[in-house]
Parts: sequence; C-alpha cells; structure tokens
Amino acid sequence: MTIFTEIVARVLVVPMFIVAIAFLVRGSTATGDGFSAGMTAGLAMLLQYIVFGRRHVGRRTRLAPAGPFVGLAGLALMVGVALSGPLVGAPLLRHFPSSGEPVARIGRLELHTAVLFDAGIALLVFGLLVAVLEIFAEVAERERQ
Amino acid sequence: MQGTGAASSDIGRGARVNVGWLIAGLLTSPVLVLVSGAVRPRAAGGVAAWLAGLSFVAVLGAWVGGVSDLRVTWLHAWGLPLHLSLDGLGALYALLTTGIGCLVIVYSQAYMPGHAHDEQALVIFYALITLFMAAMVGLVVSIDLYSLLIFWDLTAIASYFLIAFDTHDRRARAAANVALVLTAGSAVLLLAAAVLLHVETGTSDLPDIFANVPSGTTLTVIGMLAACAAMAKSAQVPLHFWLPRAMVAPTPVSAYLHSAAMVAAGVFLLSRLHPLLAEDEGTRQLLIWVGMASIACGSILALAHDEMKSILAYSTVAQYGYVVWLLGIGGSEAAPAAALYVVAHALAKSALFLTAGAVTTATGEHRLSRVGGLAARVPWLAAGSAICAAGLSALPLTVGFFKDELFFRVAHGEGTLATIAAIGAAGLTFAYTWRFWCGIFYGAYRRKPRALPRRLVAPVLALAAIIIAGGLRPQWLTGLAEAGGAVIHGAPLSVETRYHVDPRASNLMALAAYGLGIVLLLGERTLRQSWRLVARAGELYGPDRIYHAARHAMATVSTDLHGIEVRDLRDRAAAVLVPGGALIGGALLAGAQGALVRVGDLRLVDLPLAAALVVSAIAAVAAVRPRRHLPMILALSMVSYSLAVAFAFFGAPDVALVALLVQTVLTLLLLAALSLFPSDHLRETARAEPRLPPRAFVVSSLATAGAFAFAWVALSWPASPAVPLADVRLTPEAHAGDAVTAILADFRGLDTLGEATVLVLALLGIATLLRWHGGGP
Repeated sequence: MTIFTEIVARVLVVPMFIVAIAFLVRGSTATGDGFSAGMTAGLAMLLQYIVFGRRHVGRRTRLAPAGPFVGLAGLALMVGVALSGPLVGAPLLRHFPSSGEPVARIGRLELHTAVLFDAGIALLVFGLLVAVLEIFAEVAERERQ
Repeated sequence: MQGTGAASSDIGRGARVNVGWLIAGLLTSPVLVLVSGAVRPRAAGGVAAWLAGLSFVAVLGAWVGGVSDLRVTWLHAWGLPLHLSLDGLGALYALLTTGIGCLVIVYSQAYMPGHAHDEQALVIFYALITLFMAAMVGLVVSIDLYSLLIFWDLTAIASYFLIAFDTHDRRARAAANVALVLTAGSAVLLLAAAVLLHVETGTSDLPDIFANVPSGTTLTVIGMLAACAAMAKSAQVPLHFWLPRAMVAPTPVSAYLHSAAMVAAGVFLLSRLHPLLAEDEGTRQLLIWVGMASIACGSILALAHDEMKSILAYSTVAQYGYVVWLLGIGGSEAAPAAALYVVAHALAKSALFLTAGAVTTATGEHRLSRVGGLAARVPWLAAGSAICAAGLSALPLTVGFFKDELFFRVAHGEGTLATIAAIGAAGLTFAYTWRFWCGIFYGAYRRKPRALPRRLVAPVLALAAIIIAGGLRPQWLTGLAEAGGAVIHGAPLSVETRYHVDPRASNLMALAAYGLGIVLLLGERTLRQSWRLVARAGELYGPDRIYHAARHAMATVSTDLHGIEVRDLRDRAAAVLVPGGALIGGALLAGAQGALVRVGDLRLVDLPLAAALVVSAIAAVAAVRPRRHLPMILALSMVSYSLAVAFAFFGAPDVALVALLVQTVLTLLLLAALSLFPSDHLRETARAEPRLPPRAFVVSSLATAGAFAFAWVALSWPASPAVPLADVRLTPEAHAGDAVTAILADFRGLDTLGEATVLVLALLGIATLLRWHGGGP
C-alpha cells in the first residue's frame, strides 16, 4: 500500500461513519435506510482491513472482535421493537406514535419506533459485515503462514 | 379463580396483569442464568433454582389471584391471533412444570458437577433447563394453534440439547438425534393438522374452532395427525423407542423432561384438543388401542429390563398409556381422571428417577441386579421413595390411590372386559414399581454406599410429602384436576374423592390389582424369562429396528442424489438454475396470457435507462471472455454497477444505492478470496482449456431464458399495481417521507425481521465453513 492510500483510508473513516449516520437519520424522509447505513459503515471498516491489515485494525479499535455481538444487539433491538406491540395489547410490529399522532423531532431525526427498528437493521448489517471481515482476515492470515 | 375453564377466563379478564408478562418473564430466565454464569459460573445453579421457584410462585399466584388473557391479532393480513390464557388445564401443567423443575434444579446442583466436563457446560445446562421450563409453560397456556406449535418445537429443541448434554458420548448424540427426529419430526404432523384446521374453520383460535368443529373425513385426518404427534411426544407404542434411549441424558433431565414435563406435552395436546378429537370416532378408537398397547408393552418391558432408568422409562410409556386410554374414552368421568393421573404420575415418577440418580451416585451402579439392601444405609431416601412408589402403585393414603380409583370407575363403566384389563394393568404397575424399590432397598446388603449430599435426598422427600398430603387431603390436588378436567371435557364437572371402606367396585378392583401385583412380584424369578423373551422379540422385530432400517435407506438415497448433484461445479449450478428457470418459465406460460405483463413502448425519456441496460449487457458478455480471474471479477462488478445506474434512472434511488454498496463490498471480498489462492495455481487454472459438454449449452440457454423472462416481468409495468401504490399512499401516515424505508421498517417489517434472522444464520454458516476449512478443530 502506498502512503497515499493509507492517508486516504485514515482520513475517510470519520466522514464515512457520518454519511452512514446521515443515511439512518434521514432515511425515513429521503433516500437511504438502515441497511445502507450499516453497509456504508461496514465499508469504512473494510477499507481499514484492506489498507492496514487485521493486526492494525485490532490494535486501533476494539470493534473488530465485537462484530457478532453488535449484530446480535441489532437483531435484539429489532425483535424488541417488534414485541413491544403485543406487550401493550397492540399487534406485532406496531410502531409508536401511531399514525395521526404528532411525532417529536430532534432536528431531522424523528423520535419514532420505526427509526429504532431501522437502527436495529443498521447495527445488524454493520456487525455482521465486520464479523465476516474478521473471519476472512483471520483465515487469510492463517493461510499465508 | 378456581372454576371452570370458560368461567375462569371471564373472571380473569377483570385482572390487570396479563399472562403474557408471565411468559415473557419465564423466557428471560435462561438469559439471566447465562448472564449470571458469565459473571460467576458457580452462581448459575443457584440463580436457576431461585428463578424456577419464583416461576412456581408466580404461576400459583396467577392461578389463585387471577390473570387476564393475552389476545392480540399479531398478523392482521391473515387474522392470526396470539392467545395465551392460564385456564385450569394450563395451570395444572404449569404448576407441575415449574414446581418439579425447581426441585430438579436443586437436585442438579448436587448431582451435575460430577457429570459435567467444565463449569461452562453447567451454566449452559441450567440455561437449557430454564429455557425448557419457559417453553413448556408457554405451551400449556397457548390457546391458539400457532403459538402452541412454536412452544411445542421449542420444548423439542431444548430436550435435544439436554439429552446430548455429554457431547463426547456418541450414544448420547445418537439418542438425542432419534428423540429429535421423532418428537420434532412429528411436529410436522401437528403443523399439517393446524393448517388443515385453520383452512377448514377459518380461524386458529381454539375456542372459535371448538364452536365450529369440521366433520367427516377432514376431522378424522386432523384427529389422526394430531394424535400421532401427541403419541410420538408422549412415547406411546409404536413410537415409544426414543424414550428408553434418551435415558443416556443426565438423571435430572430424565426426571424432569422424560417423566414430568416433555412427555406430558403429548397428553397435554390431546387434552387441549379433546373437544375436537372426541367428536371423531376413529381418533377415539386409535387412542384407546394405542393406550392399551402402551400399557401392556411398557409394563412388560419394565419388568424385563435390568437397568434402573430403563425400567422407569418403560413404566413412563405405560403410565401415559393410561392417560391416553382415558382421553380416548372421554366424558365427564374420564376427563378429570386423566388430569389427576398426570399430576400423580409426574410427582411419583420424577421422585423415582431422582432416587435412581441418587443410588447411582452413592454406589456407582446402574443396574438393579448390582444393588440391593440399601434401606438401612440411606433410610431417608428409602422412606421417601417408598412413599413415591406407593403413590405410583396406588396404595391408600397417597394421591395415587385416587388416580387409580377414578381410573377404575371409568373402566368399570366400560364393561367387563375393560374392568379385567384395568385390574391387569394396575397389577403390572404394582409389580414393576415394587420390583424397582425392592431391588434397590430390600434384600441382601451388597456394599457400602458413599454418603449422599442432602440436596440429592431433599427433593425426593419434598415430592413424597406432596404425595402424602394429596392422599390425606385430596381436595387440594383434585380441585386442580377438576379445573383441568372441566377444560378437557368442555363443561363444569365435579370429582368425588373420599375413602370408602365398603365393597364397592373400585375398591374391589384395587384389592384385586394389589393381589395380582403381589403374585407377580413373588413369582418374579420364574416369570422373568418370559418377560425377557418378549423384550428380545421387540428388539429384533420392533419399531426401533424398522426406524433404523428406514433411516439407513433414506440416507443412502440422499447420498446418491447428492453425488449426482455435486459431480462438478457446473452440475451444482445447473441443479439450481435449471429447476429455477423451468419454474419461472412454467409460471409465465401458465399465468401470463397478457394479464401479468404489458409490454410498454420505448419513449425518449427511457433512453438513459436503455443505455445503462445495454452497458450492463455488454459487461455481462465481456465477463465470459477473460480467462484470468481478476478481469472476470471486475467485469462482473461492472454489470452490477451499470445495473445500479439503470435502477437510478428507473426511479428507484434506494435500490440503486443498495446495489452500489453491496457490489462494492462483494467485489472487495471476492478479491480478498482470490488472494487466498496461491498465484501459480490461479495461473494454471486460467491456462487450462475449458471443455464444455453439450448439455452445458442447453442448461445455460434454459437458465438465460428463465432469467430474461423473470427480469422482463419484474421490470415491466405490472398489470395491477395495487399493492406498491397503496404502500406509497400510506407512507405519510407511517410518519415517513420515503416509501422504501416505510415498507422495510413498517409495512413489511415482519419480512425484514425474517430476513435479518437469515442474515445471522448466514454468518453462522460462513464462520463454520471458513474456520473449518481453515484448519480449525
């Protein structure tokens, strides 16, 4: 890897995560959703793996081995949102506030359980992608030895 | 809220807490056990015991204090309800499950440490036991078909892992496999019955189904399917052979799952569906004959075997045979008799299993012929299990007396033949129960046993105390049996349980049974050879043999088919693409006729779209040309990128974005995979001349035609755009501006949830494949 790719890879991490969060936050009103958000964030990690290698990624961030847990947390979040309906007597996957009721906002972020569900998708996709990368890199490392 | 099923749910409706919270709490208990085990492995057993005790108190409180039903329609499109209710039948089984579960976990704390490889395995054991408890309670409070099915499967899965707890033991894994095939495999029959019922009656809620029972052949088919599923679960002849094999499981598991809880699920299902099954004469006859056959086979095999746990397993087969027989008879007398029988049997049998485990711990022996004369050495255990044996063999002053009294009354009402059969059955029960107890505690003293920890004896004594209490004050347990029987029978009823010292039929029958039992016991030595002959015949020609022959034959066919499919990579691709192409082509030919597709005309606006599609077509053709791998991958990714552009022009920016991201990740991962191969190997394969067999051209043209037709249909304007447009129209109502996001997270959220689960499974597959080939363990 040249010094140029290393600099670009390092500089791009934060903007890529910001784009991912933007996909998530703006997802309900514009193009993009939890899946794209998770994919974009995962792509940022992929770039790190390719440019710096597994060892370096492991040294720089604790995120790498946590991939499966992040993914499962995402799935748990989705299931939690889905099951919150039946616990209060509404159907499965009923989102709150219901249609017609006002929704509180922070800037462009709507405080709506559908957004939480979408965040679950993002976490799931991101976590699983990181997990796959980690396994892949681990196997590649072993093959090379 | 002691009362009938119908009334109890009415009273319960006023209560504020709903039964869903109970189930949710139970389902979180395995997680709590795992968390506590992660913090401190030694604490897991204690946490599990406390949680089980708490569950018992919660179920008892909910039953006495009243709890409202949970009834929500969770899938509006199909009108599927989730209906949970703690009625008399559910309360009876839930109290048994949680109460005995608590005692078994206490027992496990002393028993399991000697049988587990490490502390982590123990934590998982406690988590599985609590998971099983949650599944079982969930099953018994389910009033709609589909939640019933889900919990039914969950019990089978938990049982699979518990039987195969000792993963190093080949026999344990094989036994778990047989149990899973029979108990979870039969769930498919139950699913078929449920779907048939749903289609016939238009609802999956049991009260609605009972109000509108189908008739004729349909009912017979439904009844037979459900009865077969229940018989496999309750280990009834001829599907009983998984239970004796499952005895390789740790003894607490046998005591819990294979006497009190999981095998009880089968007769529970028959009880829950009784108003339906009782309408069909064929199903009733099936239950009566299967019940009788199970009593006979189970009792004789229990007399023939020598291993302590096998004796108890076959006796379980026989005991549930009584319940199945009673449910086949039906009516206001047999229904509460079946309910009381389940309670009395579960209490006594789990205590006897715990006794067997304690004896094995003390002496290291598994066989009845190798132990004996322990009464003086472990007096408390001997006394406790004597009471439990008395309960099982229906001696007075125990709750077991009343289970047989009700059974005798029903049998007497059925005529002379049934009366004689009932006496014979009860006599056999008496004989094998006391053969078990005497073999351990009576007779010649063999060797000095090790001292037993208190936790191995206390649960047996607790169960013995309940059995005695139920015999002295029968109204405690019969109240529960009345409530359960009312749900089974579908109408309020009352049971009279009192001791009468007079020559009435049921008393005479009991005396005759005791006499027969004593004769069988005294003549044990002379009769033993004939019992063993029967057992040997069963081993040679029995259902166990047939099962294994059938399994072997199926495995052979499957291996042969697999061999043809994976001969080379091209065959494997063809195995997917040809049926896929043929199906799509067939569907289009059958259903098209202009209704499905309308060919629009190409307008000037569509020009960029057409251009992008042409580019992707060129890229696709180009991907076939290069021999080297790198250009091939790049050309393939070019196809996807130009398709993403096409989607953007087609007015689907979300799809375009996702396609772009997915393809980028995919290309990079493919390149990474390429880097795993040695470079000279890659060069070699690139240089090799590919020789195509003629069928490759047929296959590829068929697959191409199918794919083309599919893409054509998908990208054409659909003739009836109702669904997507409705979704777009409803998007503002869902507080969203973007229809795609609203569909993913809201309208079709359930699909998304399902896909998310598939993703997690895919990750598991990837991890297993890569780590395995990577030279892992």
